[in-house]
Amino acid sequence: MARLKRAAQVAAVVAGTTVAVIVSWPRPAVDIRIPAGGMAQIHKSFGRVSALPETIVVAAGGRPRVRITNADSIAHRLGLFSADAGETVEYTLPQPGTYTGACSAHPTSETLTFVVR
Amino acid sequence: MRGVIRIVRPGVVALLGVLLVACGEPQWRGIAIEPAREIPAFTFVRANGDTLSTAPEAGRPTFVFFGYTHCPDVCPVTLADWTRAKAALGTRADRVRWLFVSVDPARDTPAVADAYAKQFDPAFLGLSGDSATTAGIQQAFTVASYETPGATDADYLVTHASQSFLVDDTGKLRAMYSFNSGVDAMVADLQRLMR
Repeated sequence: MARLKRAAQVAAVVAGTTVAVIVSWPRPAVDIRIPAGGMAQIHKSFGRVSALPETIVVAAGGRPRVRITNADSIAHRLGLFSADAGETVEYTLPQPGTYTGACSAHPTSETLTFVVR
Repeated sequence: MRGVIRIVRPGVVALLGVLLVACGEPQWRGIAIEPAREIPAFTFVRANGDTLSTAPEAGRPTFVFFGYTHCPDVCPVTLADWTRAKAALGTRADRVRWLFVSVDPARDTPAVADAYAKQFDPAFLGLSGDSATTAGIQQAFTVASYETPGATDADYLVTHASQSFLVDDTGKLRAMYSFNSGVDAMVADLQRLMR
């Protein structure tokens, strides 16, 4: 019986740690990937992919992060943000605001705007 | 019931512990860049012929902004913000290197760039390099600039990145500050680096 209790306690620790890791694992609010060729895409949950819009609205709570994965052979700028060739980089947006800048990985626009609100 | 609590309690403690560690990470007030980007050193020739290297110096964070002296809007506002940030830091601001790097070396000689920066504060350094140095440092920070026509050929404007960059004393780019976002974040992050 004592062994069973001990095993249950260990299982509870493992389960608690697993839940905590899953809950606290950093996920970007926006996941932008630039494949070879340089046309950026937004990757969402469940494998959904969409073209990069001209404006990306990000919910302000919880210090949202923008992750850029650049698999292209040259550096790219996306608004205020950038990623060197082969680099994955995350930008944490600390406060609401509008962040606009030139975009080198956009299919239709030369600028990209992030609105945090 | 007690038995269940006794069994579940270690799991809850583990959960809280992991969450505490995850949330306890110190936070930047500016736009944090992870992983921090290594910025190579660049050497500029100053008006008096001396050279200035941007190589990191222990205990001295560096603020960097790319602009030009004919700028009608972003540059003066940003350097005015720097002045306010420097004042808020008090004597600790002496440890910060404030670098205004011209993206218009054709018109901004080293003397012109430095005089412009020093209009805002004598501690600010205005730098203007040759085209290779200018292109190299812009590439290192991944900032763009390009000329746009003005009223005359000599009156052209330069569209350029508007954010300020914070480099720590090991030469790593840690955070940036978008135009007109206030000085509180700059001051807080500089204080954090100079603890």
